[in-house]
Amino acid sequence: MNWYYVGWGVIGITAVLLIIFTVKFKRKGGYIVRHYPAVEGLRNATTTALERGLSNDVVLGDAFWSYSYPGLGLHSLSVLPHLLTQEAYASGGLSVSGADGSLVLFAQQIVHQQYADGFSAALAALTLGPALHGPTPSSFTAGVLPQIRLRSVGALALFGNYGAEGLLWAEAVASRGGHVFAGAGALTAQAALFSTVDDLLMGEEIFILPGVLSKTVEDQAGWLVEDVVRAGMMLLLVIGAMLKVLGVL
Amino acid sequence: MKKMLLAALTLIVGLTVLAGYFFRAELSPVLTLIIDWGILLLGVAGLIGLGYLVRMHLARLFRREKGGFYSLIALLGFVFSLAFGLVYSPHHPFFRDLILNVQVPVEASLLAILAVSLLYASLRLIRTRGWTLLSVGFLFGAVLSLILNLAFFREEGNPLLAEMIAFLRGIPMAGGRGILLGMALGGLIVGLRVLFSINRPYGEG
Amino acid sequence: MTLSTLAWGVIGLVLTVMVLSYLIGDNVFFRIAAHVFVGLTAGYFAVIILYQIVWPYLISPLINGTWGERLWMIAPLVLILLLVISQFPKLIKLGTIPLAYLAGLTAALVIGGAVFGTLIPQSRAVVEAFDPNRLSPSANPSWRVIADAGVMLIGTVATLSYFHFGRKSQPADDLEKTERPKVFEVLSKVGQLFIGVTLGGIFTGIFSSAVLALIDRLIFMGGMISQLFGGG
Repeated sequence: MNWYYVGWGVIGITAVLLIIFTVKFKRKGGYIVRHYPAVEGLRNATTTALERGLSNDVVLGDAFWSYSYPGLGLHSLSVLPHLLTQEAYASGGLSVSGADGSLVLFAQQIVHQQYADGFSAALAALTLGPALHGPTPSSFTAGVLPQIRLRSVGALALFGNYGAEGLLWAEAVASRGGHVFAGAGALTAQAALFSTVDDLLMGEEIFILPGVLSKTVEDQAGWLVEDVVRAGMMLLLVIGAMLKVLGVL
Repeated sequence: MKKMLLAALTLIVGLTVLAGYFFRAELSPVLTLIIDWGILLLGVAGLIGLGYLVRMHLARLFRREKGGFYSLIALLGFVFSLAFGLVYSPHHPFFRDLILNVQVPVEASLLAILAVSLLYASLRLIRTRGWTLLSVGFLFGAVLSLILNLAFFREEGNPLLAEMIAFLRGIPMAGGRGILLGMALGGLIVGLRVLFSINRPYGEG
Repeated sequence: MTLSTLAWGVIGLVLTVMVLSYLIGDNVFFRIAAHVFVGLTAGYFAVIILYQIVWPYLISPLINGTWGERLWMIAPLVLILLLVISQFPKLIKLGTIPLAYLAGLTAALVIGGAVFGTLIPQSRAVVEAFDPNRLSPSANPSWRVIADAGVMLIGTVATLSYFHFGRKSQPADDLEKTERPKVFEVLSKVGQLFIGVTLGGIFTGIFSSAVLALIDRLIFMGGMISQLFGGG
């Protein structure tokens, strides 16, 4: 069997399904997903931080692209617009950072676009622009730890591509009474944060974001396609194994 | 109109690179060009990103904010290593020694701090997660891996035990495969959404 | 030991102590060491980008290339220019063009990497484990070949079912709103065990590396102190 063609088949089917369901849901219907308490935790924590006059920090990860987890950088950027609420702007305590120049530049454009789309420029001026605390994972950690102490961080949200060092950032915030939400994609991040972070989305769960923060037709189509392709893949694995045993494959 | 043009640019670049997976030989010259330009842009983006770092520290220093002294230290370190590297090249022995003798101790020490944090975290596992299937599996996996890595069991002269240990070592791979497959599937959909401009990370809409 | 080795050793020792002081809480020494590290790394990073990317991909073709090669450099030069001038607040929108280019390139690499780098190799490994040729002649006994393949398939499928987004069609209460449709819910219970075991194993791996780093630092500090004060 030529697995190369299977790969193209998966890409093709996924792309076609994505278009079909997006068009379908734009006319009628939608897809209901499970309730994720961790996301509720993130919402509550950001609101509480705003009310207490504390800072909301968003970390977009260490890398825009990586071989092991290629989609995480783009995913963190897709979540960002949904965290840039008017209230967060008004408080002036929203900080977005990353350890990669490209991530920070993309974030800068997103922040600008968000206020250009309706928020006032004066509000945006109050908000700290995206920051790069260090250009590598360890220098970012070294740069961000003192920052967390210097600013009073009420809620920290971790997204994108980062490893076990995320535990140090999380501990620094939690030890001062701050709340931590983590979308952990990398296996090392999941393992390190599992026993400390209550509001944790692990592995593929992270792709439920940004849709559960503010639902769009496109998000619902994406969820459904992911569920359909995943179920198809599970079935194919079982059938493939059976055919292999029978010597057909 | 501008939105359409940007979406077209994203789609054309993306589809050309994707087609390159299929028609590697035919598209090789175009692909080299597109990827080289991409690397160059990422490099320049990296430099601009460093500009953000410098700007942040300069602002803190000149506005006399809390931590201005530390910003001065960071800026001095930055200027020194940048100037030295540019004048003498990054292959100069002093530059190499400087980076190695700062980088290795600090990175290893941060990892050492992580050891303490991990130990503390492991003690809070059940308090954070409660007794769930995930936490029970986690405990089992951690203890199993610890026992196997410590070579607690003597395999010599006992082929059955050796086979059992090899089998147990393979169990975590099953969950890992499932997680990686899920991540790949999520990545595929994120990539397609950006390619079709459903998501526009460059900011337009 | 030469004077320069000793001097570098002392710098390493001081930085190690300053960073490890974070264990007793955030303090001025940790902050100083952290900022020295950030500054030096940022400068080094800039030098590496200039030497390994900007010079070979931009400056060198412009200086040493043929006229044809120089003409091809117009497009990236324009993209770079747009990216740089977009840093002026009033011209920020110009940055969308080079970033749209990067987004397209990255999206394609994400799709290709996800499918041909992970999806296909991982699926293939699960299916290939059931190859009957592995049973004989094989270095491993048949029970292990069968058990390995079975666990791999069950673990992978069950783990995947844990990530199902959709929920039960008619949930009776809030708890059921967090549950998957029946088949996926049952499979996901097994999946949770497998995910837990995997993360537990990885946790131990990270912990071991971190403890080794801690031991390495302690040995380094001990060695340096005995050399400085014990004459050794």
